[in-house]
Amino acid sequence: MSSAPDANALNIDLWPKEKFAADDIVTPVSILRRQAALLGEKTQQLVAADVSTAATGAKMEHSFRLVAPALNNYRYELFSVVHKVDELYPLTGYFRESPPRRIADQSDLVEWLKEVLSSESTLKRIDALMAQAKG
Amino acid sequence: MPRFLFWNLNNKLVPHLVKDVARSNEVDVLVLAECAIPIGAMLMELNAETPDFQFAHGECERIQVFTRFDPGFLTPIFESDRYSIRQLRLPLRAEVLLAMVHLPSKMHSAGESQRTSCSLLARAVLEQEATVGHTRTIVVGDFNVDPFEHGFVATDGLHAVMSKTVALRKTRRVEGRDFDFFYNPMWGYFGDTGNKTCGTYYYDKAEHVNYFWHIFDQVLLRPDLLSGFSDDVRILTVAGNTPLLDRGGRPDGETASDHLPILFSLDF
Repeated sequence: MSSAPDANALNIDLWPKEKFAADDIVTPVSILRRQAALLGEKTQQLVAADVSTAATGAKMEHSFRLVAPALNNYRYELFSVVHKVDELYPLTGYFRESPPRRIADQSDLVEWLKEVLSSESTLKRIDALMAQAKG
Repeated sequence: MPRFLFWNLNNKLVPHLVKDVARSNEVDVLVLAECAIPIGAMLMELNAETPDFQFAHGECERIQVFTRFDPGFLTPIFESDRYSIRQLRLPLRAEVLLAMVHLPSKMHSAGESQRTSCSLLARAVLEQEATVGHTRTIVVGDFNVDPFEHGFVATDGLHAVMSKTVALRKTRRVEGRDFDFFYNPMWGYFGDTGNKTCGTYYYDKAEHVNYFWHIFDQVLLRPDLLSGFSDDVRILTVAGNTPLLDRGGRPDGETASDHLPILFSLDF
């Protein structure tokens, strides 16, 4: 048996009382953007970096690129990470010849980024771009 | 009309075959993947008779480019570990974008990862087209993906179709968004009708689903280039006088590479 219609239903807030946590979440892309911003400071802005994000299907792809403004804005994609649109973790990291890396959480991401950004191939590439940018 | 050749050498030290295939086909832009031949050695071989090939430097170590044009006409604008996208600016010709690619192998990358690789490449191409302000784009390389796989066909992948008529529609609207087409002439090369080779790569494994032949090495063209393309794309089976196939008609990975080269010409 169904109950009688109640006009008060329009005045009820059914959302949970806890506030939404969006302000407190540090997203993978914000971590990437921070590292991108730091690079320019370390290279006298000869080599900077940016992060390009796109949603394709059910996935978010973040591509981390080195940028050489003095070389006609030449860009080099250093690595990329992919996660589901509605889930920040786990994500998959793609870097050079390494097999795609499953990244479980934020601390895992930070560790992986540390490896990628301090790898010999990364440093060599930045050095090469700096040398060319200096002319 | 400029001629382009792509060949995955599978790290075989066969500079004489590269020279033979480049010289006998009058190649202008020679794109090599998995090339273990030192650049100097390759130049010496290519230029043994006439010194007209130069190395066109890029930061993508998986792709090496040699050209009979001035290398300054082939400027890298976006690269990664897997691809090099360059502006090709020849005198008296329209500028084109040339993306040269070597995507991850099926041995090291699962189907979903390969699809992601195609999607990242497609996005990089779109971004560079927006930067240069045109869509006269060629994408060539070893994609390690067949023309019929989702990474190649889907709208969020390379969106490459088998029909020029369809490609010439330029875009397709799906769920309110427009997606640009590529034309993929390689669809026409499956099977051995006409006594031709069945693909560019052969792989036999005791699995329930096995295609044996694959076309991993492909060239894709944007519709804006199709007026200058007269179906002149070929899978090569000889380098000069040297057969690139074994007695069973498969790529001879002992003498040469386990991939066959592809050659195409394009007026633009």
